[in-house]
Amino acid sequence: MKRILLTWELGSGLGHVAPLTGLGRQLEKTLEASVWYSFQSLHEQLPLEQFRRMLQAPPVQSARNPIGRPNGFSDMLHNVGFDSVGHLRGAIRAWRDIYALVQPDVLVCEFSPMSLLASRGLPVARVQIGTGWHVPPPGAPVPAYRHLPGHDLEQQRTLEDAMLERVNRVLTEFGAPAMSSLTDFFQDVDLIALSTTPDFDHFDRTKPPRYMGHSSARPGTLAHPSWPPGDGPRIFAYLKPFQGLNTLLKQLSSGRYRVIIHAAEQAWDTARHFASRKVTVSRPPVALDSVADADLVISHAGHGLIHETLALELPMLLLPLHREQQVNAANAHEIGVALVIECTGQPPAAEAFEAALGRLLGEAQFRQAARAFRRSHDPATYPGLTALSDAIGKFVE
Amino acid sequence: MNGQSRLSILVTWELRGGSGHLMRLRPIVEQLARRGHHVTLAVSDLIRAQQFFPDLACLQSPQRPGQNPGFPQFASLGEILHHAGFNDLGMVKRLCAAWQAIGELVRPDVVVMHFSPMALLAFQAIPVRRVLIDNGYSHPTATPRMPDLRPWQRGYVELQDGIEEDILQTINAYLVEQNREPVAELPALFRRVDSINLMTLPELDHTGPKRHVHYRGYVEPGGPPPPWPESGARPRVLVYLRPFAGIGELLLRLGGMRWAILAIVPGHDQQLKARLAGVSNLHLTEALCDLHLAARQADLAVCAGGDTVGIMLLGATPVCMVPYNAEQYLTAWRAEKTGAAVTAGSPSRLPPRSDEIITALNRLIGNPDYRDRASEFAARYKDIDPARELSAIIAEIEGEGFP
Repeated sequence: MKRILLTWELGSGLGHVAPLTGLGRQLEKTLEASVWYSFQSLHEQLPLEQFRRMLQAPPVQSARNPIGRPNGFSDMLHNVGFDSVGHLRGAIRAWRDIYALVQPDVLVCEFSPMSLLASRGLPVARVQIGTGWHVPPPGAPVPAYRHLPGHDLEQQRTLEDAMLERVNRVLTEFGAPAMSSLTDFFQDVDLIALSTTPDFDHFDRTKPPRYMGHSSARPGTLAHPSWPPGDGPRIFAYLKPFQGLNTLLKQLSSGRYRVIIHAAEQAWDTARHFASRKVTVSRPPVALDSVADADLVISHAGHGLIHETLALELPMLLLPLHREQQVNAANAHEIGVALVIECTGQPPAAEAFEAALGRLLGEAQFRQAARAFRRSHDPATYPGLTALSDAIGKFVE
Repeated sequence: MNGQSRLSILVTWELRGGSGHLMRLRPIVEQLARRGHHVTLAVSDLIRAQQFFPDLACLQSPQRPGQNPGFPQFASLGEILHHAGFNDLGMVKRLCAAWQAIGELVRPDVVVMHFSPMALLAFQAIPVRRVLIDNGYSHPTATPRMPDLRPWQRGYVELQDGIEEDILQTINAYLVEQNREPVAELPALFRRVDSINLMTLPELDHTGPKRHVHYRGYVEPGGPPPPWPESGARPRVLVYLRPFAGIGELLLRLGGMRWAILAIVPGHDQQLKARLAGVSNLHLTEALCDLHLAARQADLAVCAGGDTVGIMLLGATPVCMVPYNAEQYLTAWRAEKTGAAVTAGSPSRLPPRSDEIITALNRLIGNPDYRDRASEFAARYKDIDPARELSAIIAEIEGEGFP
């Protein structure tokens, strides 16, 4: 039987787990192939049946001198093991040991640069999936991300030249073909399928890739809470730990709103203390159909949740915690459906939350923009998960 | 051995870090590979393992995601299991499934496990030969309760009983689901194997002597002869320590005592080297040498409290122990009872200060009883032969029917 290996190396949270789980299930359901997984986190929301073919991914080796505020794609590569020959050698060997054991016919990489690089020169079909953030367009140096200021192309070129020399040295050691530019290994694949739409791509691309649209597939056990009783606007919030968490929770528990919170990771320890008659706090992820009649969604601007919120035609308050989310938030803001409060620096003041909530709940423009966007961007016009699965299936026929 | 009898052997190491674990496994793994077996490793420190085993496949062992709250200072093996996820049936199922996924790919005839409790549970459900390579810290006594890893302090028995009861229920729920008999007590899980090999000796077993195990002493990693400084008739002191805040001061004070000192300090910096440059009776190096030979040549040793303590005592060399952590302190605590070793500092502040180490060292030098006890210890084990013990371990791994 043919084998497909799905790898996930970087990033965290449901934004990666959900689409990979959905794709894995679809592949298992429709193809005569055994599907294997190698993920960096044995995430609790992954279904147990997928663990039966799950290999722990090799650890990401942090750079010895990390770039503090990575601004470009190459900065990110530098920080996750492309900074030294030793790191590259160890990681490539580790991934190749996995390939030798699994012997995949198709490799599907989601935010897995080292896994993809390690496969270079091996007889395997390669598929790149993920949002635009994970897949750089061709070019040397790699073009700047949308909406992120301060991108110094010359600095990037210097960084990439040194990185390319290191990468080629290690590729040669492993008998793999060298590259002429750093992003070659992202382009030398059999299929690039971006699980996003052009409006929410993280790069401006001269040659558009295959946009599959966002596929919603929330894994694991979902909660179906009811709205707390009483009056007031309904707010759904998906919150992780961040500097302003307490301030926001105080605001949300003022009694003026009816609130359902999915508190992820360590945010649970904080958020559960705010549970009340008008605030429901859930540890498991919340099924979005149970909050479809919300007036507002608050999140950290994860790519998937933004799409799912737009599908519900709801306005958003976005609290990005890192660069990728900053771009997502800026994309959403650009189409007029969201307000953004930066949470990567100083903790936001209570007044900032107060003002944003007031505008998003009081002004009709945000909801109208969400409705207009949804109507002009019907998710059904994108190929989606089934088409992606079919496209991958062609490599195992 | 012919090609047909080659075994697929999965070697696992799941908990804790550091080179010591890999050093313990290396001679065994190398010998297995030399005998033509197909060896795959699944280990907690993958990148370091690649350096130890450049020609073997190394996988990352399944890791519990996130942090399990509580018990940062483990007081029992039960707390270590709790921290590893044994308190959560969902986590146990996921981690065991991930171990079994490795099993499905490697198709092992034998699983050799080192400090790998989740692998041990996962491979209960699979018909393979199971062999443990552990020491007294990672292998429990044959008593209902898991052993105390901090016997010098007051325990909190009721809490620990509660933790162990939770873990026992979780393990049994998993075993029953896998159509396996539940265990009556936690330590029983660790006896559901074909062979238990502890890389220590009864007196130095962290949690006391055990009857149901093979004590194998300490592997002989080999290495070059110890590069002693020119000693003349001066006594030889072996120092084998990792860098810590007071190491420069300690070595300078030792240098002032006019002994011939070989200081093996892996990972030391240039500053330390420069500081000791003028000390002619001290040779500073990062490179490990043949410790068994060094033990026979040294007059006394200063080390942290791991396997080196046992190796030194087998060479009739009394030891001043400088524990960095509670596990090493536990070895030191046991070693002191032999009368051949002294421990610097106290468990409440590790590692000890250099003046505490000098005080302990002076105790050792000032009392010939320590050397006598060390000689007696060595005499008790004069017949122990690392090469023979290694062969015995290999035979246990291969099982019956191998030449």
